[in-house]
Amino acid sequence: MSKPDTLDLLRQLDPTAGDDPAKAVGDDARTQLLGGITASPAGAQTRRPRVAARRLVPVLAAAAVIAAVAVTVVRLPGDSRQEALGPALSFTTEGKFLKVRVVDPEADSARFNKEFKEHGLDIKLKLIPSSPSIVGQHTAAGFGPDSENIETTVYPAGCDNPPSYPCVPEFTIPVDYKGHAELYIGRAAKPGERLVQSGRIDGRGEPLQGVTYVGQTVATVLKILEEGGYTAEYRVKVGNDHQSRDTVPPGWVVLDGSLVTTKHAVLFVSPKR
Amino acid sequence: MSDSPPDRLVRFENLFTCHHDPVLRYVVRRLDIREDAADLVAETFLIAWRRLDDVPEKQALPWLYGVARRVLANHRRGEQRRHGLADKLREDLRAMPTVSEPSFELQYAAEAFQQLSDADRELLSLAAWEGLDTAQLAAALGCSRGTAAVRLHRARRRLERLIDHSTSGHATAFATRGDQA
Repeated sequence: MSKPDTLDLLRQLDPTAGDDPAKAVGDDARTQLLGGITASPAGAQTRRPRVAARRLVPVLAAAAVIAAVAVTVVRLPGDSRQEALGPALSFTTEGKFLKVRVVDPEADSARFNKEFKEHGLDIKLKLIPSSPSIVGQHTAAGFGPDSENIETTVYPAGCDNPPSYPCVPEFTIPVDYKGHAELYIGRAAKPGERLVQSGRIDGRGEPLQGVTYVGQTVATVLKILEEGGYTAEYRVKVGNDHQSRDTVPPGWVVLDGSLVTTKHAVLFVSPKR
Repeated sequence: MSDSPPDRLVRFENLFTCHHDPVLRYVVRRLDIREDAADLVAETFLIAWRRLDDVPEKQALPWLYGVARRVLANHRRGEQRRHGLADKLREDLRAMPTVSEPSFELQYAAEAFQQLSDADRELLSLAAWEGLDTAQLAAALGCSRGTAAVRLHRARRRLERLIDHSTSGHATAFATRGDQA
């Protein structure tokens, strides 16, 4: 009796077997991605700040659009409003590092970027529509030569959200840092807006805040969501992938969840606990 | 090696065109939510663009897998957070795949596979799903060819032991498969 080859068995478990994701990707998506990447600073060719800074703008279309929206919101005559709000960032030097803390998570990209520039840093903060619990928190995406030298943490150190609040991003940057970087920070989403990132569904301000929902039935969790004006769709794990379902039996249990728009959630469910 | 900007652009476009799909598949295979792959593919190729001079000409794809592996690890450490990249790619990937339930006998292999260490699982996945040979595995994992061969052999043995263990009461199914193989 011979045993099947283990690699043959594994090949049959390939999550993309029979459903190649590459077939779903159109030319537009490829062109946008390729164009965005090649418009970004490229390693050795990034020592000309004026050119590079301009080329940073179309790096990533989505991020650029998000930043543009934020800038539009505050395009008011004069800067009096910004000054009245005080600084959006705090800068302190600790040895060889500069600690930059986001003191006003509600600030817009223009304020962040202006303050970075005033400190001689070519760093852009991008605002990403996020679910409530991670508004103001960082997502630590930085693209540029040496940008991996920027460490992103939270302040107060080790805080989480919840329980401690405010819990804001803190960037540790070498004092001699000369490169470019793009850092991402969560912003409040507009009503109905598709979220780009989501925190835990039971986090502060989220639809199931304070609810012990893991292991509860779909019926129970859906009732709570509906009372808050939320709708839901479902994901069911099949093999190594998830299937999308509009409805599932009410007796199934909820394992996880997150918001995908300001009023619509995805629940990860299972027929059994 | 450092190209002039136009040469650099051509090199990268070739790299992107040839390897976008394999890198996308690599990432999708290791994610629960398919559309998340958009951000990770974008990040992988951004790194490749930035470090184009480091990309080995003969082992470009395994090198990209190595980058994607680190990008994926960062993504997991970030607890499934997402950031705004590659909108159209995300949209294209949003359609959920049609996934069939694994057969009874394959579920044992799937369960055994999940019990392996992350390192073993990655090694076996690279061999079985991405089809890498030991030289390519070495390039993807940043180790010598000999080390890659030994690690692959050991990972296969560990998986076989787990499968044997999990199917000890269900030998018939595997015996039937094995006889056909």
